[in-house]
Amino acid sequence: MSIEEPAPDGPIRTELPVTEEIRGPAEEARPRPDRHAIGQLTFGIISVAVGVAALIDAAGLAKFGKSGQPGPGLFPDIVAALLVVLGAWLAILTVVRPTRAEPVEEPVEPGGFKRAATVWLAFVVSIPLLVLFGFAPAMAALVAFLVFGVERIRGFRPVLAVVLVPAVVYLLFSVVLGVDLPESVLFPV
Amino acid sequence: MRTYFRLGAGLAAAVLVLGGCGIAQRHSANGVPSRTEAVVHTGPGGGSDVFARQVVKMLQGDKLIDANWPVRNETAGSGIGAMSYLKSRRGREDTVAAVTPTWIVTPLTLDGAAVSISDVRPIAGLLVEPQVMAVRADSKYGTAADFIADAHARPDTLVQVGGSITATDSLTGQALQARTQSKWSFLTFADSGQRIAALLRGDAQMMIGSTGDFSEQVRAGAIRVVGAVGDKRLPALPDVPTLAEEGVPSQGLPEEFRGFVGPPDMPAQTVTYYQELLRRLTSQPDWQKYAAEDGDVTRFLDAGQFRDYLGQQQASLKKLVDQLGLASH
Amino acid sequence: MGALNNLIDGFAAALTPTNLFWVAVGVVVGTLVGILPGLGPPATLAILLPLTTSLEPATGLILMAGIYHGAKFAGSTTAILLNIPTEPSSVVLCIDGHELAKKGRAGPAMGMSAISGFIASTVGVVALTFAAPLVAQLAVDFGPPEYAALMAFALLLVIMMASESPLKGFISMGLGLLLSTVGIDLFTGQQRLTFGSVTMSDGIEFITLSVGLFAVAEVLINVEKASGRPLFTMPSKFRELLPTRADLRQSRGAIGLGSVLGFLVGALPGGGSTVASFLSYTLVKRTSRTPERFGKGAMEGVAGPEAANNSESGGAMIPLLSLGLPGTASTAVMLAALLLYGLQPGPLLFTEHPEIGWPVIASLYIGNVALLILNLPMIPIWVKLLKVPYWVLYPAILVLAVVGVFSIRSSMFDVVLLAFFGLVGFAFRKLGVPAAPMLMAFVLGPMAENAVRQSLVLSKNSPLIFVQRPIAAIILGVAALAAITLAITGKRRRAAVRHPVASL
Repeated sequence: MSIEEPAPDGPIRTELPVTEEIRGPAEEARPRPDRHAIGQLTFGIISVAVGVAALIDAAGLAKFGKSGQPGPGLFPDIVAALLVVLGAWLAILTVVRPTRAEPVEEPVEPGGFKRAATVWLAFVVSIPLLVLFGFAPAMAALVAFLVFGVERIRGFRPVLAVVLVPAVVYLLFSVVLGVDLPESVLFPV
Repeated sequence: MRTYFRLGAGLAAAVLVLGGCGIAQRHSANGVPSRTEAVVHTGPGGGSDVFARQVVKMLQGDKLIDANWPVRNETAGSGIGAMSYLKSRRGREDTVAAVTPTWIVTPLTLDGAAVSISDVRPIAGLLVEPQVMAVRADSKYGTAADFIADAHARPDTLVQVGGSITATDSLTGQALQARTQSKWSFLTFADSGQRIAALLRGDAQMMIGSTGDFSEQVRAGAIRVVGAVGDKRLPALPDVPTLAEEGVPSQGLPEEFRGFVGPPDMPAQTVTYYQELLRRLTSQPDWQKYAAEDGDVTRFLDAGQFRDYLGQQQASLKKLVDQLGLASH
Repeated sequence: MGALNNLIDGFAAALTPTNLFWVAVGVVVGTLVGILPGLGPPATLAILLPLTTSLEPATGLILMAGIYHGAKFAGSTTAILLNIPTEPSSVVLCIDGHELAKKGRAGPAMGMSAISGFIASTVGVVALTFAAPLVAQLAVDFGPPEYAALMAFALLLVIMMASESPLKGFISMGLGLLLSTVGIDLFTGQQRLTFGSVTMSDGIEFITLSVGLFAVAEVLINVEKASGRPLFTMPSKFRELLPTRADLRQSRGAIGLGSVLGFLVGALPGGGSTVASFLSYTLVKRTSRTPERFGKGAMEGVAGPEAANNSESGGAMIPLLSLGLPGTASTAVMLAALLLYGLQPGPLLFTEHPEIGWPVIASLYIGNVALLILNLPMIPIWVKLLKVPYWVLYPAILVLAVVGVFSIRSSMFDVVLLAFFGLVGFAFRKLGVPAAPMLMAFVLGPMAENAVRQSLVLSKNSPLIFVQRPIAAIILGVAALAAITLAITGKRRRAAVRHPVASL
C-alpha cells in the first residue's frame, strides 16, 4: 500500500511508502526505499549550500583585527567551512554507502503528507492575513480552514472552536495581559 | 460539550483573577492623555527600564498622576526598535519614551537605519549621570592620570572593561586614548554584572561608568573611583578630582543623559503637559533623594532646550564616531 | 552556625499569614500566566512587576518568588503536554517529556518535574545558605577563559548527545552555530550574515527557533500521521497520574547530578538555567546505562534538567544578592524590583538589610513548597487538556505559537521565520536529524565565541591563557578525558551493534 498522490516537488519528498511489517524484525534486512536516501542527499547538499552562502556573505568581514585578534568574520567562516565539509561528507556517504537503517518516523497514512503540506501552507497564507486584517480575523480564518477544510469536521462544535480559540486568546493576551498582537494595516484601531 | 464549558469557565476565572489583580489598568484618568505608556529600549531590569519605572513610581507617589503607566520594552536594535515604534505612533498623545545617548549613537553606526533621534519629539531632559573612572581598590593607580601615563608607557597592555563598542564608556575611553596618544584594549561584555566581575578579578585594570554602577562596591571597599570624567567635581564624591584637574584633556566627552521624548507630531499641548509633569517631579524631595543616592545630577531641560541639547550631542557624537571609524558607510 | 540562625529568622519573618497568602497567589498567577507561550519566568515577572512593587518589600519579593516558581512549572507543563517550549530552559523537557505524554505518562512526567524541582530547590537553598561566600568567589573567579573552557566542554557534550547519528547531529550543531552569529557583532558593531537587512540586525530569537523546530514541526508530524486516531493514550486510573516508586528510584542519580550542576552553573553570571538544563540533560544521558531510551520517553530526561533548572534559582541568587550582579533574565527583573524598593543589592545587602536578604532566601524555598502543594493536585486537571480532540488542539497550538513569537518583539518577520523553522523541523524529523543540537548550539555559540574573543583580548592573542588559568585548565582536562572516553566507548558500542554476540 503505497501513497497514491504524487509527492509535490520540494526538498522534503521523504515520505515513505510504508507497510505494516516494516516495524517488525525484518527492518534491518530490508533495503531502505530510495526516498530516504534522496532526502538525505538533499539535506547534505542544502548544508553545503548554506555554508557557501554564509561564506559569501561573511567574505566582507575581517577575519582578524588590527592587532591580530579574531575579527567578526573568523567564527562564521570556521562554522560555514565546517558545514560545507560535513554536508559534502553526508552527501558522499549517502551515495557511496547507501543502505544504512536510520531511525525514521512512524508510518504515515496515505495522503498524510499532502495534509501536512496543506496545514503548513495555510499557516503561511495566514501571515499576510495577519498583516492585512489583524490577529483575531486572520486566526479565525486559519482555524476555520483547518477544521472545515482539512479535518472536515461538521456540526456545531467546530463553529465554537473557530469563534472561541481566537477570541479567548485575544482577550487573554491583548486585553488582560497587555501583550502586543498583530494589528490590521487596513483597519487601524 | 462539558469539556468546553469547563475550559471556558477556567479561562474566565483566570481572566477575572488576573484582571482583579490590576495587571492591565485601562481606566482613563481625567486630563490630557487618558492613558500613557512609557517606552524603553532595554529589557526588564535594564538601565532605561528601571529609570522609567522609578519615574512612574515617583510620579504616582507624589500624586502627580493617578493611573500607573505601563512600561513597554522595545528592545530591538539598541534603540532602533523603540524609535521605530514611536514613529509608528505619529501624532499620538499616549506614548512617551525614556531616551539615552544610545538613541543617538546607534543610528550613526548602523547601516541602513531608517530612524534617527531627529524623528522623535523632545519633551524634557531630566538628569545627567556623571561618568567616573574606577579601578580595583588595591590598584597601583592613584589617579586617572596615573593610569593614562602607564597606558602611554606600555601601549596595548592595559585593559578597560565595558559594554558594547558604541556605548558611552567605550566612546569615552577611545576619545581619551586619541587625545593622550596612549593605547589600551577594550574588553566587552553584554552583561553589566560581568563587567564589575572582570574588574574585581583583575582581568581588566579600569572601567568607566556611572557613579551608581560602582557605589555599592565602593562602599564595600572593593573598588576605588580615581577620576570624574566631567568638568565638575561630583557632589557625591567631593574628594575625587576631575580629569581636567589631573591634566587630562576631557572637554566635549560624551555625556550619559536621561530624558523623555514623544512620537513625532505629538500635539504641542500634550508636550507641555508632560514637560510640566516632569518639571514638577524634579523639584520633589523623593526625586532629589533618588538622584543623590545614585550620584546623578539633576538638570531639567524643557522641550525646546532639550531639542537643542540633543542636537549638540548628536553633532559631537557624530564627530567622535567618525574619528574613531565606527560610522556606518 | 550564624547562617543557620539567620535563615531561621528569615523563615520566621517570611512565614506570616499575609506572606503565605501572597506566595500562594504568586504561584497560581505565575502558573496561569507562564503557561502562555513566550511568557517565560522573566516576562511573567516583568508583567506582574507593578503589582509586586505596590506591596511591602519583603511581601513583594515573596510574591515574586511564588510567581517565579509558578512560571517555571508552567513552562515545563506546556513543554510536556504540547511540545511548546515557552522558555529556553524548558526546551530539553520537550525531548523526553512530550514522548512520555504520548505514551500516556504526562501525569508522572509533570509530577516528576515538580518533585525533582522541589528536591533540587531544597539543595539550592541549603547550598545558598552555607556555601554562598565560597560560590560568590567562584562567580568572580570565572572569567572569559574559564567560560571558553566550559563552552568547549558543553559543545563536546552536544556532539556526544547525537550518538545515534553523529554526522547529522554535527551538521545540526553547525547550523545552530551559524544561526547564532546572525546579527550585530558585539565587539566591532558590524552586521554579520544579515544579508543586508536591518530586520536581521538583532539576530534570531531563541523562542522563534525553538517553537518552530518543536511545536510547529510536532503539529505537522502529527497531522501527517494521524487522522481521527487519538494521539495520546489516556490513563484510566488516578494512580497512573503520579510518578511511581520505580520512576523515583530510576531518577535519583539524575536529580542529584542536576541539582549540583544547576546550582554551580546558576551561580556564574551569564550562566543561567538554559545552559544548566542542557548540560544536565546531556550528562545524565551520557552517564546512563541505557542512553538509547533517551529521546523516547526517559523519566530521567525530565528529572535531570528540571532539577538543574530549579537549583539554578538558588545559585543565581548568589551573584545577585552578594555582588549585585544579575546572572539571568529573571534575576535582572528581581534586581529591578529591589532597586524600585530603594535597595541596592551588593556586598552589603545582607549586613545592612538582613530583614530583606534572608526572608528572600526563605521565600524562594516557601515558593517551591507552595508550588508542590498547589500544583500536584492540579496535574490531573492539566492532563485533561490532552482529552481535547486534536482537531481543536493543533489549530490552537498554531495560534498560540504566533502569539508567543510575535509578543517577544512585535515582529511580523519573526512569524515568517516561525513558519520557516516549522518546515525545517518537519524535514529534520523525517530525515532523522536531531533538532536539539541545533538549539543548544544556538544558545552556546555566542557565549563560546564571546568568551574566546574576550580571552584573547586579555592574553594579547596568546592561546596559552586557556591552560594557564587553573579553573580553565581543569575544565579543559575533564573535557579532553570525556572526549577520549567517548572515542573508546563509542567504538566499542558500534562494534557491539555490529557483532552483538561477540561483545557478550
